[in-house]
This record gives sequence, structure tokens and C-alpha cells, in this order.
Amino acid sequence: MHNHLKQELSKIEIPVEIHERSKLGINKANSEMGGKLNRFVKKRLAIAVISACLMIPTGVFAYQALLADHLYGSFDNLKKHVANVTMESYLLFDAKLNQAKGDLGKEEFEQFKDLLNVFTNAKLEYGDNNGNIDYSQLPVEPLEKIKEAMYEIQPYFDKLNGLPSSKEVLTAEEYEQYIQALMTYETIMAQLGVSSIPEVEIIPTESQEEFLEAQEYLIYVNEKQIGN
Amino acid sequence: MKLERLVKKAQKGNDKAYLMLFQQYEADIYRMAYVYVKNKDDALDLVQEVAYQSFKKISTLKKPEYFKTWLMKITINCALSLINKNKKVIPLNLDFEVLTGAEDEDIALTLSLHKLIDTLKEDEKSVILLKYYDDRTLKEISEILDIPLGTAKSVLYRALDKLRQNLKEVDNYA
Repeated sequence: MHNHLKQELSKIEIPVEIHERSKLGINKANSEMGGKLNRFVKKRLAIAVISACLMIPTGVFAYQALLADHLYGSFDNLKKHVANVTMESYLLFDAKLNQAKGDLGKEEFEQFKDLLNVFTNAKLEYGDNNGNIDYSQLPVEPLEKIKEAMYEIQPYFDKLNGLPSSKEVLTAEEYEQYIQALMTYETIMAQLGVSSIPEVEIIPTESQEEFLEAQEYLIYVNEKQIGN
Repeated sequence: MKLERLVKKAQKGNDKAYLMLFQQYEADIYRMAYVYVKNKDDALDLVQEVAYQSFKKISTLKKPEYFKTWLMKITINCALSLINKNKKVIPLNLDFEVLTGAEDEDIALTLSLHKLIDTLKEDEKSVILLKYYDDRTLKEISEILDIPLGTAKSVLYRALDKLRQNLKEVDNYA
């Protein structure tokens, strides 16, 4: 039976065009994967870096998601509950834990609390269902205020994430660009109405470039922070 | 090891390395595919599809030494899904298809191979091919096809029974 089957099957003639067809299949896959060497690996690396990186810029977002998903089901519900239990108090709770660990000094903690207040209010007032703010739709005054708070608060998040302060690692100019990139990210997420970082494909073409630039910059900062 | 190196290269996106690797198996893939779809054109389509799908998913292959097994699994899945698709599309022409199909290229095949192709059901073909063409153990077959070991065994015996009957018939005629 054993050899018999092999013998029988070997009677199936192999057409000459078979090589061509293999090639076609592989080429198609290759072009869909973006051609050039390592894009596959690069993409995976980028995702890894981004998810690491998200811990930093989305310090606030992460809590948002946690609160919204696990405790309230959605950010909308959270808004309803906010009169009793504020998001701020949750954030402070975690900050307190960290303070206990000695990450934040007492004075730092007080400052953090104030900044968080500005941030939380902005999220509740201007954020969408996922708590993301479309900064391009914001009036000038609150925009400036939030931006200012962001400048100040980011180093705290860095610290809570166990990373060197982005404000210190970067030059003033770079830091400005970094905050801008964070805001671009959030704006695009708000415009798309998504709660997590979207795939490039679903972003409208006109925003894609902006998104990729921001993404690249966040990766750059993250790499710098982890000491590369 | 050469195979391993080629797999690693392919996993980094090297299409030339993957082509070299894939071409070592394309004949096996074609023959397996042929047993399911019974004609040259569909079998060639399947080779192309397997090349496409496998290169796209090569990064998910954890152990390079299982490359061939992995390819066979993709081949079987592709063949089954093509068959299912065709079933939906042309049930009305079935008699016609069989008649014309029997005339042209299939004529080169011997009766027993023809019987193998025509009498066994898809799951029986999978088990028989893996067992006797790819030299897999029953345990491996059950893993590749995602079926319990007992099922693999009973499918194999059922298939062998059918083939024996066919062989007898052939003998009687001869």
C-alpha cells in the first residue's frame, strides 16, 4: 500500500508552469506585505515599541480605558457617575500607591494632583465616548490651558512609568514636538471614534501622513527614554 | 541546516529564499492538491494559493523543522475550501463535469489512482495522503487535521476498506 500510493501519485504529471505559479503566489504575498526586506519584522517591532510607548503617552488614556471598560462599561456611563466617584480620584489612588513606593515626593504629588484636575475636567468636558479629545475642534482658550497642563504633567507620567522625564531627555524644541505628537494622536483617535490606536489603513488618507509622523516621533522619544 | 536557514530568511521577509524553499515542495503540493480537485487547472491554482498563504503566514511558524507538515496542512485546508466553494457554485453541472473531466488529462492516470481520487471522501483523502504519501503517524495526522486520534484511525480504516474493495473490482475486471 505504502509504495503503491507513492507510485500511483507519481503518475500525476507535474505541469511545467508550476514554478511560475509558485512564484506568482509568493510575489503577490510579498507585494501585500510591503515588498522590501524586513517590513514584516519592522512592523512587528513597531507595534511592540508602540505598545510600550503607549504606556507613556497614554498614561491618562490607560486609566480611561480601565475605568470605562471595567467599571462603567463606557466613558459615557463614567460621566454619569462622575458626580460621585471621579476619575480623578482613581488616578490619584494609583498615584498614591506610587507615592508610597517613593516614586513621587509629597510636593510632587500635590502638583500632580492639581494638574490632573485640569486634565480630568478637560476630558469630561471635551472628550468623546472614549475620553479622547479632538483638539482641532477646541476653542483657543481651553486648548492653551490643556496644552500647558500637558507640558507639565507628562514628566509625572514618565516617572510613574519608571522612565526618565521626557522633558529632561529632550530639548525644549523636541519636547514641544512630542506634546504635539501626543495631541495629534488623540485627535485622530477622537475623529475616528476609536478607543485604541488605530491601524493606519482605517485612517483617512489626508490624516495618514500626520499620524505616521506623530507615531514615528513617539517611537523616537520612547527609544531615547529607554536609553538608545 | 539549510532548511532552517531558508525558513529564517523567509521569516524576515526574504522572498527569494522562500521561493527556493517552496519549490522543493511544490510537486508534492501539486499532487496532493490534484487528488482533491481532480484537474490540472484547479491544482495549479492551489499551488499558487498555498504559495501565497504560506509566505504571508511564514512568520507564525515557530519550528522550522515542521515546515513541510505545516505546508501540507495549508494545502489540505486550501483544497477543502476550494472544493466547498465549487460545490456551491456548480452543483447543476456535476454530471457534465465528471464526464468531460474523465476524458482529457485524467486519461493518463491508471484506474486505481483514478478510483482513489474518485471514491474517497475528502477527509479520507487527507488521512490517506498524509499516512502513505507524507509518511505521517496517526498521531501526527490527528494533530495536522485537528481531529481526535480515534477519528483519524476510523477514517483511515474506512478509507482502506474502500480502496481494497476497489482493488478487488479492478482485479475482477482484469
